[in-house]
Amino acid sequence: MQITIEASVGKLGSNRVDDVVKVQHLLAQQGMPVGRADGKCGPRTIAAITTFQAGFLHRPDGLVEPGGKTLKRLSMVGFRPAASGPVAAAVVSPQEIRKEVAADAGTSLTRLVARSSLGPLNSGLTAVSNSYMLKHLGKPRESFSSNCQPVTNQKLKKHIKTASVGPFRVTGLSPAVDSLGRIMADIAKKQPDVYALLGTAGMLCCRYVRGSTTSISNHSWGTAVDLTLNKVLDKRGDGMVQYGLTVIAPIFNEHGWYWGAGFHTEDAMHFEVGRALLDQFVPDIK
Amino acid sequence: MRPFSAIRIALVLGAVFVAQALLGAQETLGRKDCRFVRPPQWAERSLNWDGQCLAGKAHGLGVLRAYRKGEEPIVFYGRMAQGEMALGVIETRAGYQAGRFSGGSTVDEQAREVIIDAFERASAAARAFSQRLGKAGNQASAAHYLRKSEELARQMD
Repeated sequence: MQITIEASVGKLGSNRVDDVVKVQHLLAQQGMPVGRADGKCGPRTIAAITTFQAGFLHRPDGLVEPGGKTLKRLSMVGFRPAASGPVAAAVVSPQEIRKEVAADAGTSLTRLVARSSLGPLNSGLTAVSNSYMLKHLGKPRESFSSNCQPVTNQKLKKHIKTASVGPFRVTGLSPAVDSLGRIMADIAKKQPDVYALLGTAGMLCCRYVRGSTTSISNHSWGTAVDLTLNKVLDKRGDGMVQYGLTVIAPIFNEHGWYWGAGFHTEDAMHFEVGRALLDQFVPDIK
Repeated sequence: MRPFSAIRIALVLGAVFVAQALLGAQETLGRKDCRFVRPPQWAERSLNWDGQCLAGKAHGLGVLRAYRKGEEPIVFYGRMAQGEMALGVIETRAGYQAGRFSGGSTVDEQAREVIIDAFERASAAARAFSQRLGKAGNQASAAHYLRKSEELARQMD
């Protein structure tokens, strides 16, 4: 249901009490830490608007306007109005907003949103199947088990490298590691709050997919990475996604990486090289 | 009293105070024959360890649950060593913290195989707990922890 407000809410907005209450409820429904819907547009509310906007705007402005994009996004999960007394609006400095965002960053970025609320994922990208990887990069080693083992395929082995990509070090296929480094540089620029919390659960690991004796994990070629946010791994297969991952997924997509939230079994911590990007790597893996 | 003696007494009392403070940071809980250290981040939660013990301390696989009124419990599944979380997974609402633990928190920059191992240990701990609950006649909780065991097992591909 599309919610309407009479005037703008947020940083330098009109901040009518009724409108602020509506926006605060919508933010709370999106999992943002706004506290009680009291009709006051303080630093917490503005910080929540700004963080929410970071998921879809290049330049979040902390302002919700009548009929605007932010209000439409906020309205996506519905609205439950609640009673609240009239309270005067507050004016907030940009310094206070930054301070507030930083203090709440850990919890606000690991809050969960439904995958189904995100719309189409990985537009224009194709995930790479096992058979495609085998055909174009070869088998990383002769035998596999359920444990991580090293690459023994000589052709691949000489293209495996360990390097820092910014927030952490990884071992993987050289062009994939380089690409990941460029992605991290982009995240640092566009989503610094998320960048500050990023970690990894690893990239290269030659083994079977758990429970299988035929299907090889895509981590076996060092072209996939699992990310942590504030040291927390997103739960696989629960249909819920850490908000911070939704914010950086478009950046991975821009660089040709496929987000695991789009898999049949949701795997939002997982990002891997998409088919078109892999095709660019293949001629150099000789 | 001579001033020198007074200073010495003050120093001794200060040392005792510091020692008590340090002991306070290492609060131990649980049954007498299975004590464990309270992880610092769970200062205001009541804790319960259900798992293996050795020489009076929690040691081996098990499940450590941290409760606070009105909130979902936080649960550690995995291996304790000498009464402290050593290897496994903490499940919170936001997701999983996995791997080796030191001082109640996961160690930074862990190898992928360590994290995979942590989930396997966590899954085994949840499964064993489920079996104990089943034997005790608590079928609903047994089913819950069996489901947890399966979720933990399929986290890492």
